[in-house]
Amino acid sequence: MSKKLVENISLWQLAVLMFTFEIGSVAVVGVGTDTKQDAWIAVGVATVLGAGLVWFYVYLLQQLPGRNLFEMITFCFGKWLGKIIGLLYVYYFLYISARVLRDFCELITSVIFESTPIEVISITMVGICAYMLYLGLEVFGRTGEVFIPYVFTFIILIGLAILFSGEFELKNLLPILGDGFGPILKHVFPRLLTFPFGELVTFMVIIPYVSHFAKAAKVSVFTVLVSGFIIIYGTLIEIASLGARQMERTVFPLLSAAREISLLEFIERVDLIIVFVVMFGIITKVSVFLYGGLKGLEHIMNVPYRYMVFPISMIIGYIAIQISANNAEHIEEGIRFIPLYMHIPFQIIFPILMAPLLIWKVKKQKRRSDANGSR
Amino acid sequence: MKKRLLLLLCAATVILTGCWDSIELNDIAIVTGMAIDPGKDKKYQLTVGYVNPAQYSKQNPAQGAPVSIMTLEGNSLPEISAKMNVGVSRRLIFSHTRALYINETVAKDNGVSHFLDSLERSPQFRNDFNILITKNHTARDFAMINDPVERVPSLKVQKSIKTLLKSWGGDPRVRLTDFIDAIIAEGRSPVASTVVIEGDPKKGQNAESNMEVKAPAKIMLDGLAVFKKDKLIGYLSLDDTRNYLWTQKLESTMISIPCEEDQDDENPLYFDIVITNNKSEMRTEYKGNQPQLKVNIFSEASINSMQCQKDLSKIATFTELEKKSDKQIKNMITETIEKVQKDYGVDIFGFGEALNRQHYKKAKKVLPYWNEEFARADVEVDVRIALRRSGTRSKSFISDLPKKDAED
Repeated sequence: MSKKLVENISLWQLAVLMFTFEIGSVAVVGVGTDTKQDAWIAVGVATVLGAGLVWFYVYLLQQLPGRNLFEMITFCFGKWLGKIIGLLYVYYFLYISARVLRDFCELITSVIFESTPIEVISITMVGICAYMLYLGLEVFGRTGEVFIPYVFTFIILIGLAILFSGEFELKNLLPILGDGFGPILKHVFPRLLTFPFGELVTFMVIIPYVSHFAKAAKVSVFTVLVSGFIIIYGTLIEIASLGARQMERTVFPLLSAAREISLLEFIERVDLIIVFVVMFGIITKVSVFLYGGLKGLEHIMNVPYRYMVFPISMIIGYIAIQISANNAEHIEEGIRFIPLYMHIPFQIIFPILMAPLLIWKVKKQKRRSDANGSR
Repeated sequence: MKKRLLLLLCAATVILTGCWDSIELNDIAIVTGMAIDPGKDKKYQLTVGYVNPAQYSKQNPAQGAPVSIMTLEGNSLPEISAKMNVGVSRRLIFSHTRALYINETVAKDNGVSHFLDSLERSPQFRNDFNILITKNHTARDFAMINDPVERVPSLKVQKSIKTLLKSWGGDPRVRLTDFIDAIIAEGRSPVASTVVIEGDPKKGQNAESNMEVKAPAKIMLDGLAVFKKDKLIGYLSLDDTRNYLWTQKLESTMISIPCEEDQDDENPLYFDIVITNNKSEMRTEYKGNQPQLKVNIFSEASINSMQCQKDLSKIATFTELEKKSDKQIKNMITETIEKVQKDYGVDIFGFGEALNRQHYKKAKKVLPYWNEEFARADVEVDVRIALRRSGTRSKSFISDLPKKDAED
């Protein structure tokens, strides 16, 4: 068996990665737009549920400390079945990674670089992710650490800037819960719970490498709550500055909201700041999914993942362009098919099915080792 | 190693040469104004006015027109603007457009939504230009009128609107997104500013007109255009526009109020108050089956001039003047709302949206036919003016003049 490098990231780095992971895609496409002016309530509900879901993921990992998702699957299902299920997860992670990349490419090609071929953006972005992962998880964690202050302050500042340029109309939030809780719950499950919160299932590949694993559960749940709070903040900005009707119609709501900013007729056209936040969020998100997929391949094929970083990432760059012929197809797939056929099975059903098996096997192993020890 | 370095350098020349989409500064023409007229053969006639940069050189400004225009016909704005280069040497950049002039005929007959979509969709257009309906002359004329101070006509219009909003308030403060939002909203109908040309537009086109003290032609703000969905149905005067703005978001205004209600016509006396801080709230309610529109206005004001003989050092005078202002403003605003109800029957004020916010269940039922409900609704305007101060003088010297009665 090949020698594995054991890499560690700190709890803070984990929190940073989770945070940027959460807000990245959300900053691009916006969430909860179907619930109109109550989107922020929907996000709030989803955050609480998402925190529970993440706690559940970490709880599973705690049963087998030091082993990641794929090792856990093999442990539960044996060598061959484990490999097949592991491959399905690899497929899921890589596919979602390509989707996230496509989100970003769509944003850039339709807003900023209108005549740049989408391939150029896709390849350069995935190239950065690949290079970062090639250098390892520790480098990835540190990169996050370097950029997080900017991401955080920029998001807060954008909100304040909108507030002070007088575009913030609290009136737009009314009526609150006009149609009751029904539509919100319908939207939270499955859409909002799976995207962006359920996607944290990928972190089951990363959390085992945290240096203070014992505290990982607390930190993850806390991070999800904080990022949920920031997403609520972002959604409030979108609703209050654009209004529910317009938010529903915009492809990139946060960017459109940032375009409204005009401070003292001097600070204007700051939407590029949002693009920066988005870009970093997307790099994190693509990398985390890519890392998940690569780690799975590593486990299945017994080859260090570094050998596969560049080929796989180039494939991702290519798939990102090929998965859909146009933006409408991309979005409709994301709304109608992905949650149902990919997110729910891999994020919820499968871990829940695995949980009793895992607990039973761990107990059995413990009993055996106890018996061995006493003999 | 050396080979690798060379390879890297080669790669760098490809990667670092800049953005795909870059255009050099001397290859672009910045569009400041767009004018839409009905086309003769095709659907629209589009005129763009773009800045002549040589005019703005600090060292040796060229003599000539500050803007140039180009007119073409076509069926859609993007098509026409892409074709503009048949006569324009540079690539047109629309992100700094300041004003969009729409000929009233276009707005009346075709509606505006067909070209507004392309403006909203394009990433080039920002949400910071003014939508103006042009009266009497073609929209094209408006893109050409020179202004001695601001030089570029569209810049002049935008600046004038901005300043007017601060001093008097005669613009509905409507931007593209607000306008579109109002088209699709069930509880609100869109409005836009109107402009007219005072003088002879032919003479105003000439750059030499900037030499004259009294400009031969001037673009003037004229009030409000009222829309039903996306079609123009009528106009409101400047005064009505101010009253409209008062129900929405008025920054500041100056208003003269008669001292006595029944004064002699030969020499009417007025006092002026300047509104410095204004809060307005709309409430829509149903009393049985009858809709009630309520506007509550609270404004802070100070006195700016005084023609009548009132002692401004007394509390009683302030209270009296406050009451008079309340009444006058209340009547003005009520009149405007009732005029809109009677003449146009469209809710430009957004009472329907207020109903949606305040009584969601009821709104769901009545919003589909809201304009009829609006037209038959009762209007109640409640104005409360708080006079805070009276400038740098308390008593006016006028009050020391011998009173008329005493003369006898």
